[in-house]
Amino acid sequence: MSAAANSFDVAIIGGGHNGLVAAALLSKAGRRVVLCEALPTLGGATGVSTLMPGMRVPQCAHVVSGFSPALIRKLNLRKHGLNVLQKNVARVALDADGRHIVFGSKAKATRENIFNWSSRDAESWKKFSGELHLLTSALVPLHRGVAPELLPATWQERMAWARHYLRMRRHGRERFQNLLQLLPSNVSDILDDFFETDILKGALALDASLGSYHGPSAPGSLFYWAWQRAAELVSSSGTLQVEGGPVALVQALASAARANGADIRTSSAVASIRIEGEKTNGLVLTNGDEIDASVVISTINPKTTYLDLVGARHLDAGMARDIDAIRMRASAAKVNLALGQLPSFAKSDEDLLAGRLLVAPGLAEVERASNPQKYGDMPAYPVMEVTLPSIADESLTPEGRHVLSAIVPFVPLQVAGGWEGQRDSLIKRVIKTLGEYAPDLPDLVMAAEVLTPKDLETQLGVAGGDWHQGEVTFDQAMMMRPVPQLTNGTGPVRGLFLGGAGAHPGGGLSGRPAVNAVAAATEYAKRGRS
Amino acid sequence: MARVTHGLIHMERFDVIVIGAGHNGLTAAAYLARAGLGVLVLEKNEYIGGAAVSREVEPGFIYSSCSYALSLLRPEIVRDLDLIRHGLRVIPYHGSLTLMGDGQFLAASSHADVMRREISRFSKRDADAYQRYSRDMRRQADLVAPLLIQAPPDPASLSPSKFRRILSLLRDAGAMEADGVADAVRFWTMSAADLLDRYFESDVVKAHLAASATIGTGLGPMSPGSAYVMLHHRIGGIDGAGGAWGYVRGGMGTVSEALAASVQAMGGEVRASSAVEEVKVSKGRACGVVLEDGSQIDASVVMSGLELKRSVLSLLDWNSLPKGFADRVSKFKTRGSSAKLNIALEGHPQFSAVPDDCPSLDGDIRLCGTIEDMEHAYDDWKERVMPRNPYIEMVLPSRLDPTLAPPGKHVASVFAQYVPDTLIDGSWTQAKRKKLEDVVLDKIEAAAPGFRQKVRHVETRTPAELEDEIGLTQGNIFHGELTLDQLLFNRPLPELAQYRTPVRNYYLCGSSTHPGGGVMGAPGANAASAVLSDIGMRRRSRQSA
Repeated sequence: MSAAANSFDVAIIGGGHNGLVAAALLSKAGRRVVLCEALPTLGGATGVSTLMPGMRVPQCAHVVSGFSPALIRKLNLRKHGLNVLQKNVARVALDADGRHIVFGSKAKATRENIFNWSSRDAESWKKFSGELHLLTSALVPLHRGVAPELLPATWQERMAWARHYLRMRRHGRERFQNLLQLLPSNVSDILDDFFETDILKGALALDASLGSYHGPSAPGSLFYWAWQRAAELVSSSGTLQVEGGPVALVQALASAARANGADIRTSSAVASIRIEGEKTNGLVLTNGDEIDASVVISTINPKTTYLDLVGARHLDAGMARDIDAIRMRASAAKVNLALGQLPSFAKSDEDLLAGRLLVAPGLAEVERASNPQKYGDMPAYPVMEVTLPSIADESLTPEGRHVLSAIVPFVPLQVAGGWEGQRDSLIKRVIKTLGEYAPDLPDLVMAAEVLTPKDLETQLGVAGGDWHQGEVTFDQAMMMRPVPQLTNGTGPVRGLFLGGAGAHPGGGLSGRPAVNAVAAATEYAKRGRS
Repeated sequence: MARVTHGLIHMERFDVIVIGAGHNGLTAAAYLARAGLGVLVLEKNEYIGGAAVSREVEPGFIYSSCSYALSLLRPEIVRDLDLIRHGLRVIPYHGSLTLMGDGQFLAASSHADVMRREISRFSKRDADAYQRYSRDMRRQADLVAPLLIQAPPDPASLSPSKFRRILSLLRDAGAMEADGVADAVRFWTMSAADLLDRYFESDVVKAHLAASATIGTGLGPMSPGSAYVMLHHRIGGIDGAGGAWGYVRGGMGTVSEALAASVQAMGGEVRASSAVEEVKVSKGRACGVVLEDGSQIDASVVMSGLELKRSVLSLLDWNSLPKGFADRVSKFKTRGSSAKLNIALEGHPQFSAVPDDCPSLDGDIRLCGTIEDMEHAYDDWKERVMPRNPYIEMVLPSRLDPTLAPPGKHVASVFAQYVPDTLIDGSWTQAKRKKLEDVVLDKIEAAAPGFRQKVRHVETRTPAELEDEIGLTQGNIFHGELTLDQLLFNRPLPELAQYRTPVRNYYLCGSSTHPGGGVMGAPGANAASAVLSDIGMRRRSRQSA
């Protein structure tokens, strides 16, 4: 390869959705972009796996939550093959006897479902939704753009804080106080305060805990929940199901980037980020190739970026310690099943089963499931979020056949005794649990696979098995994400920007961290020229 | 304070009635008496002190029945109320001992060099990290300390003076630079386990430090928010030695006795065996109390040192409360998680792992195991089962204070953590209490063989006894859990955080209010300030200052 072929304006590390968003945006803006993905395929956690011939299932992420419709339009992703099948995919509290509760866009229908269980809870629902919305909507603006500075130094930075304060304060003293009380609370207590129905509390607690290391009784769990909901709320169409699974989004993004001339390379692992005089000037790949670029955007996790690719020698001791202390802890495993036909869940139709089915009999069960991982064990009675993507997406399976995708939270990275031999037992526990809801399901299973957090790490490069690239807790969120020294495009290496889920505003398939990184990189390039 | 004749009945009248002669009620009373008000403190038990009490249950042996060590009592209060003159003597202890159960132990010391050498036995790296940790902890404690002896900041207030105060607090925090502010977020929100992982590698060192995160809380050492409980135990000090702890000569009751003496010296009155049945409210104002014996006492101001739910739900007529208020109060979290065993010993226990002359035996002796063991105990608590392997903190105050036991004999104060307030199969019974006693004594016996033979008398107090005897609702030793949704301007509820209640002239002065539990006295002192400022007087210390 000639030297010119390896000279770019921007080099992007990581071919997940964030990396591709950055590549597509920058190439559209006329930059010469190269993207390096270590694995042979693009997509990170959005891959598709083939369970058996003709039966495909989203390997890891099974819905697209919070991806900005503006980005879909701006990058013309529909032209590049993105086909949205369902918007605002509803959550469903699944009940073994068919008294399901659908948390859809119609609040009245939800209340009626809850009324089947408890009139008191149906009454509380409105007030509860109000409180949750109060917190969620307060967090929505923090998802847009950069986070306010931890220690505002300039007048503008102080004004940013003042604006956030006034925005939250403007609804009056009581609501502001209520907000300050809700912010550090936990999910269990608030659910217990409002409701008595186990299945309702269980489903909400499970929804609140998906992707979190902590169970619903942990302080800060309400913030985590509201933060994830805010990520969905900030994009007008909520959770999407796209044809072919989340990988279709990745393919459309890659196609859009390539159409604009971006050089997207797979099987190109980065060995290090080149640094000269506190400034980056490109990458070194593990195959020895060097890439020249004055701007580098890393969408892989911040810890690997700084400790492995940059190297601790470029960091001061305190910063290296803080980066090393970033917690990336496995939050979930994925179990995929190929089914001979649609399993018969009680009183269900395809509309209902096309939602996100929350399988958790009660709050105590969710909390209990969260215990064993602390000691390196799997939950004995897993709770899970289940989707049947083949209902809305006929491209995945032959007529009549279906695939089931289950996210099982609270599965540790390592289990005592190693994963070998225990993978099957996780599949068995999942099938057994689902059998209690659809008795014919165990007999319909034609093929099954499990993706443990360890597999996520080794096969898909998800460090620690944490799909957020760093737990979303107060000490690792917003102006503290990933660490205070690296927020909002700052850092010890000029020209290097973080654009993955590990950067503000974090995980999900929103693409926002990449958008922020692109903005910071563009600003940097502009300043460099002037 | 005069007896006024209303027709035929003699009606007493005071400026201020304080309900509950716990250390906070007494502190509030002393400050108000000192300002010249006529003060009466009413206590339901025949003894005063609430949870700061010394009792001679077994002849010759004095138990600090509930709280058992002192650090948090604010030095301002000791000075203002002349508590030294009224008999308060604190004997600092300079170490503590953590026994892992496998023969390993860490003998901690407040002397930096000794501590360094001790930690080096486990990890050289941790010995260095401990310096960083102590410095960071100190910095956060110093930031919190000035917040303790004043009402919490009110971020929702639009009044210029309150707003200025918030800005000045933010400036103080900002003066710590970005890493100090980041640490503040970490110390206030992280789990103890995660915070300690930032510094240490040795399981023994981490277990030793994490133990204080579990005390009295409904959080495990791996729960976010538990790091704050460690900080809460380090915001005090003795004689200017930040974070130091000590025993009170004569037991914790001496604190209450000194406070009561201070009240009386200032002309106030403390009356035991006088349980209040109800706070009298007329036209939205508190105007006195009705005692259980039916007698009534009038007052212009009524203060309650009881836990929030008792103060509001038990003492007030619900009809006098704003709509929804009782409901909000009932949601205040007060889950109990601790039990206390007071033991009279025929001789000094001998721990098999530790030499008998180890100076750290003067301090608290922690039978804890690893952080995971403590977390397991917490998981059991969540399921409300009888603890199988509780965390135990034991002190032998008679080592330093000969007034507590006959020569050669000792008293042991044993704190057991993660004991549910009610069990999954019902409330505490005699048999279950005995079972708990055995679990705890057996665990001590394992660490100190022969211990059970030396036991002469045991008093076991589950959360149920703590509630029945001294009114700790659900047995919560802090009058309400110490989680961020119940701290600072959220404590106990946002609308009650300034010590005032919707019932005018009725104030809260117990540990349910800012800055929370522990024998600190700050809630009482702050509530007294609120009363004085409302009636147009200022605390005398401020005038002279």
